[in-house]
Parts: sequence; C-alpha cells; structure tokens
Amino acid sequence: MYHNVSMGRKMGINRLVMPTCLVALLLCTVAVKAAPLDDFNIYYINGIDNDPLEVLNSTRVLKEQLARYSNITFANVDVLYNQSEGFGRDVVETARQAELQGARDFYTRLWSIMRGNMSASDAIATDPVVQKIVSSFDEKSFVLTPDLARMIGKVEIFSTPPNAPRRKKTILVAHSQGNFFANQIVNGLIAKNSDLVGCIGIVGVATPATFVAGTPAGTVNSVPVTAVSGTYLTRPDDVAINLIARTSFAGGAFILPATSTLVVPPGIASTDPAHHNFVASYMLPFGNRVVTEIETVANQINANGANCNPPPPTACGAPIHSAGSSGTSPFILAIGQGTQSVTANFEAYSIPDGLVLSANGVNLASTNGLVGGYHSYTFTFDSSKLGTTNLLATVTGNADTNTLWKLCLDCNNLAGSTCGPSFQSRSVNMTMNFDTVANTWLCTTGNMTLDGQAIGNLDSPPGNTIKTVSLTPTLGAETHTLSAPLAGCTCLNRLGCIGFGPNPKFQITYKDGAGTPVLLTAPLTKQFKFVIQ
Amino acid sequence: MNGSHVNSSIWIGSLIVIVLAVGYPHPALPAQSGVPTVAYIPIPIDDDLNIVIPVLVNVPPDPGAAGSATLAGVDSNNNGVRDDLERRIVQLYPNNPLAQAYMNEAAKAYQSVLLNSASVATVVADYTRLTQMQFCLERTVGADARSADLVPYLSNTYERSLAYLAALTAIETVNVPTQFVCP
Repeated sequence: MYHNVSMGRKMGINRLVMPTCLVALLLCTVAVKAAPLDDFNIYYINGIDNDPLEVLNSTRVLKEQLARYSNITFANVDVLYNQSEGFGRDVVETARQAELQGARDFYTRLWSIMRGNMSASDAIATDPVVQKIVSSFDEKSFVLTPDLARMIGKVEIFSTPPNAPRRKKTILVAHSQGNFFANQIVNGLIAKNSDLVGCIGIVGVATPATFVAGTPAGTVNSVPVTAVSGTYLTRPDDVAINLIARTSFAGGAFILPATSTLVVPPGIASTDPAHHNFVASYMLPFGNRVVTEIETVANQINANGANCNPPPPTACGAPIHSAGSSGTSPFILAIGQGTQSVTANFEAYSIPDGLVLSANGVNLASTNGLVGGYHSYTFTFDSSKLGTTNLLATVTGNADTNTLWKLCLDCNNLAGSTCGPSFQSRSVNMTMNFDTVANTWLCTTGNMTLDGQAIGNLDSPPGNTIKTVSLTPTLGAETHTLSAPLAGCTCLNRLGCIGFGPNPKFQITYKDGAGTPVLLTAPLTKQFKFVIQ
Repeated sequence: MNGSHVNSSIWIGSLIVIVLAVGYPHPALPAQSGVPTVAYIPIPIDDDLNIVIPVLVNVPPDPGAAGSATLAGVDSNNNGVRDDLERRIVQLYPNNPLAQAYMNEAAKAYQSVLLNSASVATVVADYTRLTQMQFCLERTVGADARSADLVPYLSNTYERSLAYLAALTAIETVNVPTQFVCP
C-alpha cells in the first residue's frame, strides 16, 4: 500500500498563487489530509562552495515550505553537505595568478561569482577565474570525489536497516552543481546497493546538468529495478545557468532546458540579481512548485511497489532453546517471508562440538569444525534471496559421550531475541563489605585467586571495593573456589577497636541461567567455595 | 538663482547609483553621533544642478589598503567588526539599526571563522551563531535576507579566501537549524 501524496496537498497561498485562488475560489478548498509519509528521507544538496550558513538556511526553508505547501509529514529533512574545498582552493589559486591591481574588489567579485552571482561578470571569454568557475559545471568531473563517497554512504546508512527499518525511500533535492552529485549518488548506488535505486528520486533545482539520473526499467546487477524518479525546475531567467548553457566548458547547449512556466510576474522584487539562489529565487517565489515536484517524485517512488516498501519484520517462528550431547541434531527455525536479523548462541563447554547454520544449501554461519567454548553469530536472513523461509541449524556433538552443548536460535525482531544473558560468559561482581565503626579497622583480602587464577585484591577502605571477573559457564550449578590467603583486618585505632570488631563480608553478584541477578554473601575467610546456578 | 534653491535643482542623484567610498568625517558633514546610516548629500554642480551622493555617517573610515594587509583587518572603533564589513552593513541596511545589529553579530562570527579556521569546535559554534543571526535578520527585514552576502566582502584577499576555505574544510557536515530566540 502506498499513499497518494497529492491527496494531502494544501492549496498554496503564496503571493504568486493568491490571485489564482481569489479568481478560482472554489478550487481553494481544504484538502483531505494524507497519511504521513514518514518513511522518506529528503536531502538537500548544495552547490559548490556554498557558505554553510546558506546551506543551513536553504535546508530550513525547504523544510518550512514543505510544511507550508504540503500536509505530508516528511519525517526527516537533512543535508548532504557538498564541501568542495578542493575546488575552491583551485579557483583561489587561479585568481592569485591572475590577480590584478585592486585585489580587494577582485576577490570580492570572485566570491560573489562563486556564490552563483554570475551576473557579477560577463567576461567569460577572457577572465581565467570565471572560466575556472564555469568549468566546474562539467558534470563529467563529478565522479567519486570524497564528497560523493561520503554522501552515498550517508544515504545508504540512513536508508537501510537497522538504522531505518521503515525509511528506505529517499528524495534528493539538489541545487545548482548539487545536481551533479545527485546524479552520481544514484549511479553510485546502482553499483553498491541496487536495492535502493528504485527507492530514490531527484528533484533538481537550477540544474546545470544534462540529465536527471535514471535507470531504464529492467535489471541492475540481476535485481529488477524501476526507473529512478526524477524531475527538475530551472528558471528561464536564471543568469548562472544561462551563462553555463552558452559556454563550451560544461554541458553547454545540452543542459536541461529551463522550465518555461517558472516565470516571476512583473513587479516582484528580488534580492538575487542572478535569479539563481535557492532560497531567494526558487523556494520563496516558487516554493509551491518545488513542493509539487517533491510530491510527484514521492508518488512515483511509492508506485515502485514493494521494493521500496519492505514489509515490517514478520513474527519469527518459535525460538529454539536446546541442549544435547553426542550425535547430530538438526533444528529448523521457521523465519517466514522477509528479511530478519537472526542470532545464534552456541555453548560447547570444554569438549568440542560443532554448529552449521544454513538455508537452502547456503552456509550462513558455522563454527570452525568442532570447537569448545562459547560462540555467537548474528546474520541477516533474506527469504527472497535464499529462496526459503526456514533456517537449518545442525549441531554435531563430539563422539565423546561426556560432551554437552547448548544452543539458542532466535530472530532479533521487535520483540527482541530470547537468546541473551544465559549464554554469555558469566560475569561475577565481587564486593567486600566492611561493616564497623569508621576509622577503626582496615580490612583487605590480599591477593586473591579464583579457581586458581589470580584476580587481584579487594581492600576496604580505602581502595578497590568492587571487582568483576568472568567465569566460563558449565552446565548446571557451578562451584568455584576463592582463595584469599592474606585476608585479614588491622586495628587502626586501639581504643576505637575495643568492643567493635570488624565484620567484613564478601558480596558476590551474578546473573543466573534465567538472567536474574543473584546476591551471595560470605564472611571474609582465607578460602571458601561458592556456587552459582 | 543659487544653490539654496533646492526646488529648482535637478536631483539626478536619485537616478544614479553611486556608492562612493567617502568616509566619515566627510568635509561636507559636521561631526555627528548616533545611528550609522547613509546620508544623501546634495553637491551643487552649478546653479541649476545638484548631484546627490550617498555618504556613510557614524561609521568608521574606509581602512583602505591597510584593511587588506592582514587576515584580521582593521577594527578602528574596537567593536569587534572589521571596519570594511561595518561600512558594508550600513550600506545594506542604512535605516535599520536592528538589522545592522544582527548583521554586525554575523560579521563578528564570520570574522571568528576566518581567524579560527583550524578549530572545528569554534567554526561550528560560529555557524550556529550565524544561523541564529540569519533567523533574526529574516524576522526583521524579510525572508529573503541573506547575511551570507557578507562572504564576498569577508574573503576579499588571498589569505582570507584560503582561511575561509580552510574553515569549510573543518566542518564535514552541517546540521539542520532549529528555531531561535532573537536577542
């Protein structure tokens, strides 16, 4: 199921459409509010060397205009920041070489042009700095720059589980040279994560590109994809784009033609003489048009179907909790349709045993033959790729009939895995509690051993009062031996000690097989045994 | 007929965009105190003709070449704003003290960006401040206010351009701004 975005559209009431609304009042009705499309990520991609303040401001205005002209609740509007410092340095160095008298104005003009105000110079045929800047509009050069790799990574991370289990759809709103990046992001994803391609759309604004990235419907890397959804808006009076279109440095005449209907009525003042600025020349006068394009692309992406609307994780079959000994023991976890994260915890104890996890003959995880100790695996089970909904776990017990093993197999779905603490190596907290009048006795354990292994000391007071040690679990109750041959107390204040004997105790906490915390208390002795369940 | 007959003068200045780098104190102006602004001064050409020129008043003088000699520039009145930027701000908002105040704060933050371009934390803090000032400026003069218009004047030398680019390098990502309270 997908939502038709246009159903939730507010009728725009900005200064440009107001006359239309007054004339055709009947059309200006309150629309039915659409269900929120909170599974979209919308990213703004800035042009080259935009000031970060301008990038932030553009993103904020985009967010505001979406809220103003659409009832859609886009959960996430963020930035794919095009840093492009390297290019800026190239331009400045070029400027340095061409520096003339009156350098202050020279660099001011340079930065004005860099900010998109191409009207600051029409000396493109002779000015090397302007030529350098204009040459940056060559879309062929925007391949795998560090910025691009970072952007692709961000789209991937925030479009795929587990970071975004319900946000796999992405719309890139790109301004100026940001359109080159948008196109290359799509191309990069086709190579890296083709599942996402049909879930991405582009809305280009003031684009100097010759195309909006798209893939013909068909297959990419053997995965069926639908064409990338894309559209764009460019003002016919955009000075910067018109200048680029007249040059031979970039796409020139092949640049996407301007949007003929994107015309500002006479009398509307602008603070942007180049008619290129994202906020001043597009989002403020044409915010409703940009939002309409975003909605159109959103609808196209939704129409791409299940590939962009993965079903929520289904309930996994009953988890497997089992234990055994010698022989081969197969288990089947009925996972069902869809993609699930699965955890398998396997405890082989001291006598080695083996585990193989597979689906439809595909090995998903396994021990390295017969192994002892604890092993844990987490992996993704995709029924569509594996061609089965069942996970097979095969345990091979050691020929030694004294062997024992324990297995837990479960999905990491919304309910959470049931394979947890009982399989972890047991962690034991030991505390020495010193109960007497202050500043009278000093008690210490001296150097201790646990099951023959040195574990340090506990002193109270002052010094360490808590120590954590890990114990390898065994089946059933575990008996451990704690030795503290130097354990004892010393009177610090003879008068104060009289009548107030020390009462030092060990307090040992651990979690039992069910994960429940347990507290054991024992007097400070030179050696004692304690049992954990 | 003489120059005092203003009504008969031709005010061609109103039709000519002239921004003269005439600093305060101007010979034609008495010393003034108060809000920095642009005064439009009629200059008699002959008995029938006056030219009106915009003159900045209550602003520091144009630092000239000295203003471009160092990364920090010249701040003769020690208000934290580079003189050339302060003059530019008055030209942008000649009759709006509140807008000037927000722009001056933006100029201070931009200046900090230049001077501390190697410090990521400082640059990020500066841009947070800039975002707030932009928001407040919009509230004062309208949605198309652009405090980033200072950038070409901020980065008006080779050294300043490189420092500005270094600051851009310092921040690999930017966060979407939120609402602010305006001072």
